[in-house]
Amino acid sequence: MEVIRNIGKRKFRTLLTIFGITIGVFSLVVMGGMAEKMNKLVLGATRYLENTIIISYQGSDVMFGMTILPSHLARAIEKVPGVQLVTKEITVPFEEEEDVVTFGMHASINGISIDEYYQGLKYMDPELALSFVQGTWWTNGTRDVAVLGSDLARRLKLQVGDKLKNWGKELTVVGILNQTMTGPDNMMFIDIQDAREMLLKAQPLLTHLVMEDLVNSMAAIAKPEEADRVAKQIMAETPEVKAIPPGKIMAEVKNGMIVFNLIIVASALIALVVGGLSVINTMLMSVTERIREIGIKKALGARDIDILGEYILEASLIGVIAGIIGVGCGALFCLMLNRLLVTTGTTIFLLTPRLVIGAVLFAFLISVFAGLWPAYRAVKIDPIKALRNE
Amino acid sequence: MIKLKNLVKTYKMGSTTVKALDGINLEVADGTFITIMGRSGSGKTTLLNMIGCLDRPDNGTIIIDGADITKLPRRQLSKIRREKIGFIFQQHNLIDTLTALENVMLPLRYVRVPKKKAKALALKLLIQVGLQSRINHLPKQLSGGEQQRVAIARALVNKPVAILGDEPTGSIDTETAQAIVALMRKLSKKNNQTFIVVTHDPIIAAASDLVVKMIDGKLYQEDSNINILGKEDKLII
Repeated sequence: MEVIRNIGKRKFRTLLTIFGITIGVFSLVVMGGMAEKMNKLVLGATRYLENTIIISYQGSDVMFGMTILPSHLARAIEKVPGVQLVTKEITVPFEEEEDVVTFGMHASINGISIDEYYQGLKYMDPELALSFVQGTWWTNGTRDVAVLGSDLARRLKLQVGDKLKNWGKELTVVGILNQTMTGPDNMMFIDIQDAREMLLKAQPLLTHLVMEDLVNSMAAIAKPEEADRVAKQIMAETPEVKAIPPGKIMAEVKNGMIVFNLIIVASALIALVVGGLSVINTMLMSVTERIREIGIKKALGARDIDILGEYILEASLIGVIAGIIGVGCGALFCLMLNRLLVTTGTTIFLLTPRLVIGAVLFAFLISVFAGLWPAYRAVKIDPIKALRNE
Repeated sequence: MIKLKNLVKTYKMGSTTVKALDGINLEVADGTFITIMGRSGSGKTTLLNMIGCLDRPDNGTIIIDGADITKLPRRQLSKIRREKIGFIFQQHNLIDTLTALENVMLPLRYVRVPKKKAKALALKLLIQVGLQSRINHLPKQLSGGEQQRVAIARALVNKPVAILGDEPTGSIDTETAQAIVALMRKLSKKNNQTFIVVTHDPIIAAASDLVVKMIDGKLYQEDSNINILGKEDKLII
């Protein structure tokens, strides 16, 4: 009670200090929420790709553009020792209009062979297998059907049984996936043959090629520990392709994420440190105003730790209050913005327990740290001088 | 029992050295109510600070309850203050964010008495000083006299050997001062506790077992019915 009364004694000053920390925590939650979402995307991709060797045509850049590969190459690659499976996909942009600006991943159409998908499950972490809110996968040989990722289904307001038109094809929705917070949320899965037709609509230049055998995405599945060796061997045995092992792709992605996270978190931390400085200022003023009180307490036998504890408790209470308000406001902001962007199928922020708890804990720790110096000054006050203070 | 032997304390004020205490000798038996009078700057408060373990002498010995406290480290002095000394100051005596009851409980917090027990002890003392109806009031809601009663209760709550008062009636009216002095006197006799009070107030002096005067850092006997060391020419040496 005493601590609450003390911080309530100078309400306006305390409120300003709390406000300072609140802004810092708010920034940390919002920026951190953005980083968490990106990290989740990258983590999902990392886990998904850990046994995947991406195959592209020599001279193409798989990281920054599409490749075109004849699918018969898959048969040659499958013979390379260590290759468990070769998957082939045709990927088509979902948006027919160009220049759709979005945060995160663009929606895409992924043409797959359902047989291959089921085979791939054998080599995949069971946790990564896609699950359904409604419906299920189509059966082999079924055409003109689609399975939608959760964000895409929400954006298009589609249910199982509904129809949609895309790149000149009418598709019936047969399944809607559970949210993964990663890439598949913005994907539409269809049969590879349907995708091939849609790709020709999307990229008319390709009609000059014999499309029956072409795919634009190919990956070889191998044991993660053998991936590097297998990739080298694929390139040795099929010189027309480039095989990129998972380690190399992930290293590039992770490097990018480190810089992204550093920029985001550092900017939020700067805001928090400024808040911490206002705690130091408030607590120093509090010590100066309460010199006589400190003298009386020392005369009554208060130990150094009693005085120290009292001031640190005050500072930490300011931090916890500001932390809770900051997290509350930040979470509200993130949830509101995510809700507003539902129609675009984009989720920008991801609030995780570690972010929420971490932000409050950090506000608490920075306040404790900020309270140390004023508290130390209070401890060092000479009781005789303090008692002379009126 | 409190014994002071040849206490000396000097201060530097610019280039001048001031002798605040100049060879003080005093022996005060338990349960004695003693008043130290003297002009401002005569060394009264310095002496009180020495007995209260807030300051150290340059020379001499202070014995409280049989223990020489002169050379004790800072932490030990704090312990003596917690366990053996009670303080009553002139004004702004109480912590303004604590209620009367919480103010009285404060010394018990420092000796780690459980809260429930501390509350019972504090309540008992507040009843003794006649403030049972004011226990939940903050200092600003109490009159000057009531605040001093709370301060007395707080000084007594940890059952100290000595209660040191620095002008305890300095900021209250005569009638209230008389009531406060009577209360201190009564409690001193009842609990056999020593009161050492620095004051200009003749009301306190009149109620004391012993009145000593402090002039330029020396102690002079004014009236006595207790044992004082060295009575030559009424200068206590």
